[in-house]
Order: sequence, then structure tokens, then C-alpha cells
Amino acid sequence: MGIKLTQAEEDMLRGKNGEACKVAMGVLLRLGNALGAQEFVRVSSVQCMAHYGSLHDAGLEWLEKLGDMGGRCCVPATQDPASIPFEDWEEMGFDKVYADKQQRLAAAAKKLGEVLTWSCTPYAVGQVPRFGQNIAWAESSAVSYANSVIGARTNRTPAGMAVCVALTGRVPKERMYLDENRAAAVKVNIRDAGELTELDYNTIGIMLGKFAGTRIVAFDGIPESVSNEGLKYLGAAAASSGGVALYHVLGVTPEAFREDPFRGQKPAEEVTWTRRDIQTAQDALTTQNPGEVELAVVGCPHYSIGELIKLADLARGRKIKKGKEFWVYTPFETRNLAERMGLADVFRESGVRILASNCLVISPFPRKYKTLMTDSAKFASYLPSEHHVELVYGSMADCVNTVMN
Amino acid sequence: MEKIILKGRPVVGGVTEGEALVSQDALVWSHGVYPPTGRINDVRVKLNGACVKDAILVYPYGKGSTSTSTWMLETFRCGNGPKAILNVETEGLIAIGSILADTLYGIKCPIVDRLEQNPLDVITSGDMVRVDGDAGIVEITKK
Repeated sequence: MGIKLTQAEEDMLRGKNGEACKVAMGVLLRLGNALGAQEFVRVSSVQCMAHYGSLHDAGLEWLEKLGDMGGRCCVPATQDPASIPFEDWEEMGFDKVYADKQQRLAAAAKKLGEVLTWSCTPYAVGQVPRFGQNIAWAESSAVSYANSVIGARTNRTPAGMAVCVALTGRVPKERMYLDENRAAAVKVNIRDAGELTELDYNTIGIMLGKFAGTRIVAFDGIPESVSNEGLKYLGAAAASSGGVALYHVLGVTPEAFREDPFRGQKPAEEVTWTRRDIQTAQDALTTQNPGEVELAVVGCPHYSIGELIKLADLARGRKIKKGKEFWVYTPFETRNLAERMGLADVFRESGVRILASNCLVISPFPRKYKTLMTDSAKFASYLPSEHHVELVYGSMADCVNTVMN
Repeated sequence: MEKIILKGRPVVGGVTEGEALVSQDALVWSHGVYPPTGRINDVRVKLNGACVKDAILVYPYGKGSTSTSTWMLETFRCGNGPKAILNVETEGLIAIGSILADTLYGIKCPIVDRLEQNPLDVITSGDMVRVDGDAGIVEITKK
């Protein structure tokens, strides 16, 4: 019993590839054996975590230790967003001690040879696995997107473990890496819902996580015209309200495009959601006693260039109201694109602030806010408890109309 | 005193003994346990305010973010981790927290799951529990 190692893996375990690789392989082997895996799979891409908000001093010590032992990533390994906006933290008033820790984590990630994208959407900044390819991503919305929308294979790789995968290129073969674990078990029909907006996909994601837990759902009734952003939000929200790492959409996502995701079995449970159900779930995402919105936050997961274009179109010629703010989260690369396209000028003129490669779920606030507004159901499910704020949930256009003249 | 012996799956090795702290709710470590105190800090959980330090922590399964493991690791680094963990089903997220605590700090936190009876039905907070993470055996002395 236990994991059967290849020659290359045994060499790693004996330290042939250096001390850091040896330690990493030891950790993965213990974990793989604990989980009952029979072998490792080789992965082509890793998404690690290197944000101080979750890694704390322990995670920092771990990454620095691996770096000091000479560790180097052997496959492209990105990381999720940082806990500060690297470029604006000082001006915005973030705590210096906290910022220093995040900078140390950045230095550690750089020393390990990580690809410094700092994004929850690695697929939007050049890391695009192919259908069926084994990868090991960490951030839950990226995992859901890779499994569901691309058809690549990854578990929700834990922080602290992902770096071990990056150093060895190996991960225990279990759950999502095994074909038999990817079949749909339950079915959700979307009926009489009219046209589905991006906000609706966010809301449906919340409903999905609550309903499914960790079971795999196949949707019927989501049109093939659904945008990639719609599916991004659906997966992100479902991973925040439940443990969803994979969902299928009949006629849309690759493992349910032509094939039967139930593989000939009858769904163990089948439910139907209508416009009324979606509306009820949508209303519940606004907290009980919101005051006047001071700050609109969008870009969870990170806004795509398509969304930045839409936002610029909505914001053009308008200005943020006095005493209010509008923040948008997007990767460095997408921000650069927005700069080249002149969208960033529109944002500057209207007072919209881009926070590049950062994320509010894992960042402290530079100052106190009472009421926020967002177009992201994932933000809506995390921010009230983590930042003790009231929250209004609405579309991108609602956010613009609320804080802009 | 009534003694119950249950066999389960050994997930992380080590032998320890302590007082049970049982959560019927799934626990979220990220933002749900405060590492500097080891206190559960999550209004959605009935055990909100209880301290996991040195407990035999019993809960159904993990929930939420993949950063659970580093929140756990930080709790261990601060010296406030549980003595052992019993789950209905242990995910890699939880196992890796304990494995890294051992790798980095030499702290042992055995984990056993898939017990022959649901530990949430059998174990009550305050029971004395001995956990053998190598053999996957749990010995419960009811309070």
C-alpha cells in the first residue's frame, strides 16, 4: 500500500534535486499516503498562495525556508493576489509592518522562481491549461474555472502544499485527477428565468454552493451564449458558499458539451430554479441594515479586460460623488492593457481607482468603511464577516450609478 | 466510567490524549479561528468563542478557502493548535496543516477520520479522548 514512486520521484526524495525538493517531496508523500493515493501525477502548471493575509508568519517562514534551501519551481507557478496593492499601499495608508511582511513574501516567491502574476485568474494572464491536462491550482475560483470551464484537472490545492507541488512538479493522484470522480451526481434545471445577467450567474453560484456542498452538479438551461465571466462568477460564488471544485453545464462546458456528464446514471437529486428563486437569493446577499454606500468594490474574481471596457463605457464622462470611492481589482497585465487602450485615463478622470493584483477578501482596509457595494457574490459572502461592513449587492451598472454623478 | 473504542482511518500519525471539543458544524479555519488566541471566531458556528488550544477537536469536515492549511499552521506556530483532530472526513486541506506543523515546528497533531461510528454522535465536549493516529484507534472515556 501507499504511493508507488517512479525513479525520478525516489531521486527527489533522496535529495538528488536538492534539499528543498527533498523536503517538498517528503511532505507530498506523507499527504498522498494519508489520503490513500496510489501514485503521483505530473502537473504542468501550479498556482500557489503568497498573500500575507492567509499565510501569516508561519507561511512566510515556510516559503523563506524553502528558498534558503535553494528551492526552485520546476513548472510555471503563479500565485493568488497579494494582500496589499504593491504600487499604492503607502499612499492609501496601509500599515507598514503588514506591508513589509507582504513584500517579504513577494521576495520569497521571486527567489523560488514563481511567475509573479498575483492573480486569482491565471487563465486571463497567460496560464491556460488544455482540456484534460493535470495542473495544481490553489485559489478556489481559479480551481473551479480550470476544472469546469476548461476541463483541466485540479483539486483545491492547499496553501503551503502548492509550493511543494511547484518544486517537484508532482501531486498525489486523488479526487479530481481521477476520471471516475468527475461525473455529475445532481442536476439543477434553470427554468423561466428570462435572460441571465452576470449578476444572476453570481447569485446562481451562491445557490449552487449551498445546494451542492461538495457534490458535482450539472446545469440544464444555461444558454451557450453565457460569457466566460458569467461562468467565472458562478464558480467563484459556489466555491465561497460550498466546496464546489467542478460543475458541468449541459451543452456548454467541455465535459458536458457532447457527452453525458451523468455517464448513464440517473441524477441522485434534481431541482428546478426559476427567476423567483434567483431573486430571493439575490435579495439575501444584501445585508440587513445597509447605510449609504461609501465604497463600491468590483473585480472579484479579477476583472477581465472585457469587463474593464464595460466599466469604462459606464464611467466615461461621469465623476465619483463627494465622499465616495470606486475600486476595481484586476491583474497587473490587464491593468497595463487598460493603460495602453486609454481605459485607465477614463478611470483616472472619473475617479475610479485600479488596485492591481490585489484582493479585498485577503487585505486589511486602510481605513474604516461602514457600507460597501459590490457586483460580486463572492465579495458579498466574505466581506460582511471579514471586514465587519454592511453590504449592498447589485450589478456593475448599479455600482456605477450609486457612487457616481 | 463508560469506555468506547472506535477504529478509523489513520490520516496523520502520533499518539495523544486530551479533552474533546465537539463542533457539530463544519469549521472554517481561515478567518474562523484566530491564531494568536486559538479561539473560534465565526458567528456561523455554535462553538463561536471556544478555544481549540490543546483540545481533541472533533468536527465533521472542513469548509471554505484553500488557505485553511496556513491558518492552521499559524495557529500551531502560535502554540494554540489542538492536540488532535477527528473528522467525519478529512480533506487534504486539514491533513496538510498538521503535516506542515510537524515539518516546520516539530508539532504533532494526529488526525483520524472515517470512524466506524459518527464521532459527532458518540463524543461530547468534555469527554476524555485518546487518539492513536498511527493505528487509527480512538478511545473515549465519557465524562
